Amino acid sequence: MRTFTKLLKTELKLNIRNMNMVIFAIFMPIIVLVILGFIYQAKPAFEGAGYTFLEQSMSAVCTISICACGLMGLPLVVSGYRERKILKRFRVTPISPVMLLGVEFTIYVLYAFVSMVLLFPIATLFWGVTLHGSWPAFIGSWLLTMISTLSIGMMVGGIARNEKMASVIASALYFPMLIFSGATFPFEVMPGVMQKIVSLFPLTQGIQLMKATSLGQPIEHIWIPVVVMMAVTVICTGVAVKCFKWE
Amino acid sequence: MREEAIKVTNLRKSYNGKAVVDNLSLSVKTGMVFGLLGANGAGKSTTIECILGTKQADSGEVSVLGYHAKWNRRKLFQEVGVQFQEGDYQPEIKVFELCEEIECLYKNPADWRQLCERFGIGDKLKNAVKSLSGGERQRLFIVLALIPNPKLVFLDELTTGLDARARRTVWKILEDLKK
Repeated sequence: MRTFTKLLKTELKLNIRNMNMVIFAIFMPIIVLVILGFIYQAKPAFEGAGYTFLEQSMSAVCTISICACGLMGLPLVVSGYRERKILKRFRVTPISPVMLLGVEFTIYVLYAFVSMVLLFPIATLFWGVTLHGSWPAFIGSWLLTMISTLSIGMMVGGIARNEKMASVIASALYFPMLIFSGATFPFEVMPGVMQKIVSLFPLTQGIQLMKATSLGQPIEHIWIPVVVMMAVTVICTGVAVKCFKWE
Repeated sequence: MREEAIKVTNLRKSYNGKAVVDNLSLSVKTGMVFGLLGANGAGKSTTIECILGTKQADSGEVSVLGYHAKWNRRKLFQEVGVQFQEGDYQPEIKVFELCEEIECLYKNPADWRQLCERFGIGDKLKNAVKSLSGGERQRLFIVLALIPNPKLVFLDELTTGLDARARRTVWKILEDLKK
């Protein structure tokens, strides 16, 4: 435990010093929120809706940092450390791969958490956003979405041959998910065929679930997103740990 | 009777069919300084890496402090310090951060501040590792290899990049540590 907290402290410091994630996971979601806030203000989502457009978008805005962490930050750090032979140096120390991955994983959990914790007060203060559903249900769905997305990143970082490859795979996942899963572009306005395709993304499932829990809507077939995301988490984490390469 | 710290028998390693290490056997007893000499590309680093388990030998037996590097990795590296030829570090890391990060991995770490002092980089703790000169960085990597309070230490290209005086200092310190 002492090792874990010490490593976490140093690695987190290095990560913040690098600034990339501070920009993409902390500032960018806030900027998107502010833009949406200025455009839609406190307008209802549609005529006669019991919630505002912004309230409907909150879950999607929360996933911007999750995407940045899981599909950019995490895979690039792990594969970069491998390419720079930092993992090789760790290999001749008593550290376990699980500990190392765990530390990096936790850093991105913290980013995603800080992002969410900043977004809600800002939205509430300026545009009166409230959570219509229950907080525990929303937090639960947020956790599930975050952990499943981060586990994808951990797998990519674990198996990519080098940083370049990891970066290609990460972008191939990051951009489609960010654009089409409803994080930037509302799922509701997409044509039916497209909705079916993007429903295959675990992130789409996550956003739908977060949306329903935050707006307090009844959820049909709640087991589908839950099962999809849990399966993704278990498979990706398993592959990441099993196929972990130091070099 | 001294114990055997490293025992290598019939080690073979080839890259793409070209033999780099061919039927090497060696034994290092505790309290001994063992130097592996050879021209560039002679296979010195490959031998060290096969002993440490970071490279898979084609055949042969290796035991270090009675452990097999692959199967007892975590136990072995509690007691062994390693300095690689091409040591790398996180891009923005500072000297004290790198030392702390290594220190926290061990059960009985040495005092790295003292080590840095002895190796003449005690005043550079707050500097970024990448801002150190070649010789300072080399000395830092020796410090890192000594942080575990190791029973056995592997030093690859120990004095490369060090001037004559620094070389002598490093040898002297290591000689003292051996006692």
